[in-house]
Amino acid sequence: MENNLTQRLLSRRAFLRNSTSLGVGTLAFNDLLSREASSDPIAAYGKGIAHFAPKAKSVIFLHMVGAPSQLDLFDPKPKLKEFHGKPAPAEFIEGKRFAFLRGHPKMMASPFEFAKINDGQEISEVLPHLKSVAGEVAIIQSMQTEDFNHAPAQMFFHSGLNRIGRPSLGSWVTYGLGAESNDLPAYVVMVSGPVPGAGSTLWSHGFLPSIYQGIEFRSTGDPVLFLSDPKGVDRSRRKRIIDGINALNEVELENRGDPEIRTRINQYELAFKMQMSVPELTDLRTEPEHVRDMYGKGSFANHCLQARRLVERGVRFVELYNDGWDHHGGIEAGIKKKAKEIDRPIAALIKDLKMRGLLDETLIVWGAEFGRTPMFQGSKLNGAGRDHHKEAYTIWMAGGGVRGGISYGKTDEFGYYVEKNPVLVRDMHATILHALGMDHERVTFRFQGLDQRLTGTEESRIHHQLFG
Amino acid sequence: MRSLCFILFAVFAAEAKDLHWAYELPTKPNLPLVKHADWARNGIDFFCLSRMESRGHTPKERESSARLIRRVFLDLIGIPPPIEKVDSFLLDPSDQHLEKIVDELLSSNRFGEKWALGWLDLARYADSDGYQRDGFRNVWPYRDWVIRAFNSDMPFDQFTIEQLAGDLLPEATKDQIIATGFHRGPILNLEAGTDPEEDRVKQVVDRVNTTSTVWLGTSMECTQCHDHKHDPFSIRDYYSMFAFFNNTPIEGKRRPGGNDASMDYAGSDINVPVPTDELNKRDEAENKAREGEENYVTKVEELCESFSDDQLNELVEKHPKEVDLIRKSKIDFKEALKISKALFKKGKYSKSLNELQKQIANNDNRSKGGTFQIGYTSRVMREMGKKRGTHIMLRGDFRNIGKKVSADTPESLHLFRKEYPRNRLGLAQWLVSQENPLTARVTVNRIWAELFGRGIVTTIEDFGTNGAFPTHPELLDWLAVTFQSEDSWSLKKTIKRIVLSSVYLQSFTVSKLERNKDPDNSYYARGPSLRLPAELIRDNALFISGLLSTKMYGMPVRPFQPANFWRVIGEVDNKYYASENEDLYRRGIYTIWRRSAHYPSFANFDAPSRGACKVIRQSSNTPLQALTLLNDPVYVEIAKAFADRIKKETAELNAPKQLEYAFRLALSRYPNGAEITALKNIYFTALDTEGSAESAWFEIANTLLNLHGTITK
Repeated sequence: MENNLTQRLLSRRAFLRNSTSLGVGTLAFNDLLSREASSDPIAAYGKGIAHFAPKAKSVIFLHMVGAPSQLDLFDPKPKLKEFHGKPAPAEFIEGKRFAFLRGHPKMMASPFEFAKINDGQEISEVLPHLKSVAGEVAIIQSMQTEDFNHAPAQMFFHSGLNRIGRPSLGSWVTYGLGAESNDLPAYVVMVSGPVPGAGSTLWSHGFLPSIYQGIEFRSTGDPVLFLSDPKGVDRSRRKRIIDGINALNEVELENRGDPEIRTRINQYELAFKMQMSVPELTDLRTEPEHVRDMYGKGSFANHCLQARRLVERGVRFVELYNDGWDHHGGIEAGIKKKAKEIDRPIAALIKDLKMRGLLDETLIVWGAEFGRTPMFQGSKLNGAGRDHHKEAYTIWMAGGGVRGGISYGKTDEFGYYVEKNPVLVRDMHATILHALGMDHERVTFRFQGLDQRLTGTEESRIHHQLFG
Repeated sequence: MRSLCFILFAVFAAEAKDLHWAYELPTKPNLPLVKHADWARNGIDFFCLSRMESRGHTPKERESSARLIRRVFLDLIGIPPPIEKVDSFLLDPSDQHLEKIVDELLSSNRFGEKWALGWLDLARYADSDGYQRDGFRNVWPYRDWVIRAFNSDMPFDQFTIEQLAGDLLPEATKDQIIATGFHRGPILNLEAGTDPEEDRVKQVVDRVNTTSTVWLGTSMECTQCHDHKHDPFSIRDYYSMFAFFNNTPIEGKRRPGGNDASMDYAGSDINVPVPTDELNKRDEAENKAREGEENYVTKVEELCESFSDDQLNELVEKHPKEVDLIRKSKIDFKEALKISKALFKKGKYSKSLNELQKQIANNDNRSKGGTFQIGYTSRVMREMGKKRGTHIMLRGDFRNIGKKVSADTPESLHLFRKEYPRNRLGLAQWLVSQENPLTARVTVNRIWAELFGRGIVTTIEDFGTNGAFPTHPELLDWLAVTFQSEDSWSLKKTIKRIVLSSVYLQSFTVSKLERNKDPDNSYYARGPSLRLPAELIRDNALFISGLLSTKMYGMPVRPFQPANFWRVIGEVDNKYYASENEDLYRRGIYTIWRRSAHYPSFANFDAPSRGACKVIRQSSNTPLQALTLLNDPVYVEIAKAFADRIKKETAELNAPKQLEYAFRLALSRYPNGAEITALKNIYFTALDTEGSAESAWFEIANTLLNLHGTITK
């Protein structure tokens, strides 16, 4: 095995040294450059490099900013009832560092009831709507990460590095698969509540070309910055001005023959189209009332409905951030409130996609930067919260070929460590790329002398059992 | 897996015995023989022409004069030529005249404002700390230092030494200490719950990586965790370099007494002079505060006078001290406060007294400098008396300590001489030593890339075995040796040599066939044409409209930006307010750089967030750029000013001449027939539809500012 791998790596190196084309990703990028000259705005994204027939074509990634407690939502621990209010076993504390906990912390059981459903799934009473579609959902109880401060952990969760500089998952996916919509960006981000700690770094293109940057649709003002025309410029006047700009750019193209000018002309056309398509997209009044009712009210509900509209229109990667899950105190009330906010919209999203036959080709991922401790924070149980926890937590996936109704991986009796099928962040990334028909080792981009990839240099595991 | 790494490393180590080209000292090569030596203006041309001729490429003629002078202006000072300059060059387009223009531009103050931009990307300069809290930081005096250094053509060896170790120079000046702000660029995590030591280590790691990227053309990043798989650097080398940077004070500390793990800034800063107008404002506030106190005292005294003796006798039981004060002939402000707190807290006078007290407090605060987001200090490097021990951190984990190491440079590179002190100063001297094969090469390559959009080594950040081989190895060495020896590290001389070469002066226009033969211009058989960097796109538009302020230096300025754009949570004051007067129209280099949300129109044109050292910016071409130039209120305002300028300056002319003038303001050259037709069409249609000359000129201005040619050099 080792010999084979060595052989492969060596020949790969020889390939890199002797060839001017550097890995599949680079090929796609070269293709991108040459296609910029064409008149098709989608072409700027490249035509994509699926390695095998994909299950999913697009992704909706739901990030619960602040880190919800897995122990109160998806991973109940009866043993904690025994230890409720009692000191944590010594072996859990020894040599550990926590973000906030000091001294010898005590354990806390979940205040919520859980229902056992499907194939070993358990879902908290605070998520009744999600429970009704649990047959579509694969709960992964064995997620692990490496950082326990919000901003670095968020960056790690999205880019595989706990610092600024690497492309996010969404950028890699659009880089790998290209765009399908010719009047919308391929990677769209929406934020309900305050912006996450790491800010727009989380949807940064890193070292990839900047067209792979996530475009944020803002909740107030223009959904895309500078989308509205200034006072005194209506649609026909804007059209006329853009036509004039493009007429002059056409002359310069004729003068100089620079393909960049062709791209610029296309981008002005796309900008004009976006001025129409984005407001139309974000105007939810065009949805029938029963659909809007299904999702419910509020900013996150609107974003979920918009996410469906976006993937329907061919947007490749949609990312929704929902803030307010950092329950260091008052977790019982806090979780109830937050769960209520997301439960109905998320369940509606799954149902809606399913009804439209889009669920199979849309992978939904729900997760956060880390989980929370079985120990509680605060001086007494009443009003207590939980600290940051990176050793074990829960995410879930649905759609996109994922086997629903299952629970995957396992934690110990306190929910402190993973006992079975650990899923590292790079494993999650590799698995998501797999669902989209991409081999994570072959989606590469040359930077700083290396063929960089989302999953880095260490081995990543694709969790095939998640797919049916 | 570990043994596999070992096998790989052994294989590569064996290969590395043949010294990689970049680790051999450059020598100055002879100029190659070429068939068309008459085409060459200087040494650079011989190397490029020789390669062109060997592959059947033909160089192009000189670029047309108007386009050429615009290219030179934008490359040297980042703003386009005024029409008079274009006219005089059209009259005398000789090489001598061109050289004179180049000399003028090199000695312009605008030069440093342009060339500092790229260096600030390397220095990851920003006005905030990054991460979730993203609080403000004061390091802008360092930005000014960089501009001054470029303007005075500080030799690159000195430029290096002062930035890496200015504080360690004998009798270091304030400026030399400010220069060390270079390495105070790393992001700093003051988010509650941060482990201060872990974050300190991350910063030192950033300093090692940045130093090696900027001066050695190699990211040593891989060796933070393991021996390098391709290049001759070991994990030991990494932590030996780390040791040079491991002795500056920690920058974040747990807040004393806090049980919520809050953090405070604790790094070393230096005071910088407060400008006179700011001092005057502080004096003014001080006077207002004292005046307010007097008013307050008078008011309280008046109120007290209304008490009768009986009333006072009644009050004395409950407020004996206050009544004593009232009976005094004169009270001061503090005493007045005491009285009003006891007696006038409620009642009809409480509101006005409170209001007055608040005003006094505000003025007091302002007189002490106020609570600014940015202030008059600068972050600097300072060496601690007692050095930290440095250990190898296994797999890059700061808790996983291995062998102890001492400060040293990588074994495979040139010798760290005995006469160098074993500190940052010694490291800087080692970097700019004549024995270093890399610094000069890496630096001239970066300059080349800034002018041509691609490096002679195309992997500008990587000169290692995995990087690209130079397309023109001899040219690189010729430039490097000339820079380091003959030119004594003068950046201006290097830049001048390149912009006066025939290669640089070539026309960009080639046939489709020629372009397809060499789409990336790797043979340099045509001149460069590149989209301007973010800041220059705005500078350029401001200049064209006549709004650009030439005021230099000082605190970061704030152009208008969309509301609700700073949305960081936490303890930091997130209020954005726009600057006043000419500060709204300053060059982009002075714009406040907030890492979590930097100025959106810059971000849309690929300005990096500056979270880490960035060697070269991308040049994307997106619909968001179109939307920015069309609709950003800043650009709308610029277009209006431009329209006014056209109207004012061309009142005497007929429409075609007016259009020609407007076109030349934006693009320097005269429009051709098709262009003038298109302009007339736009103008007259607008005039018909909108019904006013004002609207028509606005459309022309808006159109011209959006042209590909306007945002391209």
